[in-house]
Amino acid sequence: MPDTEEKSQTPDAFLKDVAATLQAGVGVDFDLAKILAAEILVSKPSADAVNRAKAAIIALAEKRANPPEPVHG
Amino acid sequence: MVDALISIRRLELRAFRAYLAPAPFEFGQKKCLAVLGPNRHGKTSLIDGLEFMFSDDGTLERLGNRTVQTKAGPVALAHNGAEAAKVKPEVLIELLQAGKIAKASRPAAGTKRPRPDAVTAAKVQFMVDPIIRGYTLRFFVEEQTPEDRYKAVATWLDLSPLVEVQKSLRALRMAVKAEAEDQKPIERLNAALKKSHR
Repeated sequence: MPDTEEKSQTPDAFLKDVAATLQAGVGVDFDLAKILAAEILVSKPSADAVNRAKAAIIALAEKRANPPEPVHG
Repeated sequence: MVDALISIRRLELRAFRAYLAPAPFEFGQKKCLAVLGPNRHGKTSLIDGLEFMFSDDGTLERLGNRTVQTKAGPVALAHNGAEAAKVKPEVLIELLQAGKIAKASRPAAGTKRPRPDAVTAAKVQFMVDPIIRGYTLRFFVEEQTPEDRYKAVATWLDLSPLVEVQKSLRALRMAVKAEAEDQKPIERLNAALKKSHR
């Protein structure tokens, strides 16, 4: 290692990268990744982050289980 | 990005502990380094040089601030032959950060042995004490629980937020699994269906 330097990354920047990579990943559920990025993959999550993420995931599951009726014209 | 990492490029001991003639140690070439050698060949003096350079009081923990029965005091920093050889006891260091090299020296004799500003600036950026002694390591390995060790290492490396993320993901996984496996809504639905068929 001839005089090379390593760059360190803050946990916040690291988590933002993880969230962005996750959301851009092939075969990744984008909506689920978005929930994780918003609630969990942050350096200062809210006190009820897990409950909020759970509620958002359940709401997403309900929405997918009950898709809107197709409109017949 | 936070501050670029600091690395020690070079340390030189002059009339310090076991070394009378200037003894340079180059650290810039390898990322990891082990110092091997027979007893009484100056391995400890090298570590002493590092401890002394970064110390607040310009001494070593085992020498203490003054000569007392159990401790030799800062006078023991200098090599016994320093005066006769007319070599000024000191430790020199080269630090590398963000492409800049800072050179500094600290006198190892006299009542004032001020720490160079560049070294003080480097020290405030330490997350872990650079010298980890055997008894500290023994306590860490033998006395602490794996959870405590994990927490300590995460704190040293400023990874606490990531540990929290890991905990949250585990809690979320369990909560979603429990919700998915909850039979009560299905039972309620079955009961409602039975009623409607009566």
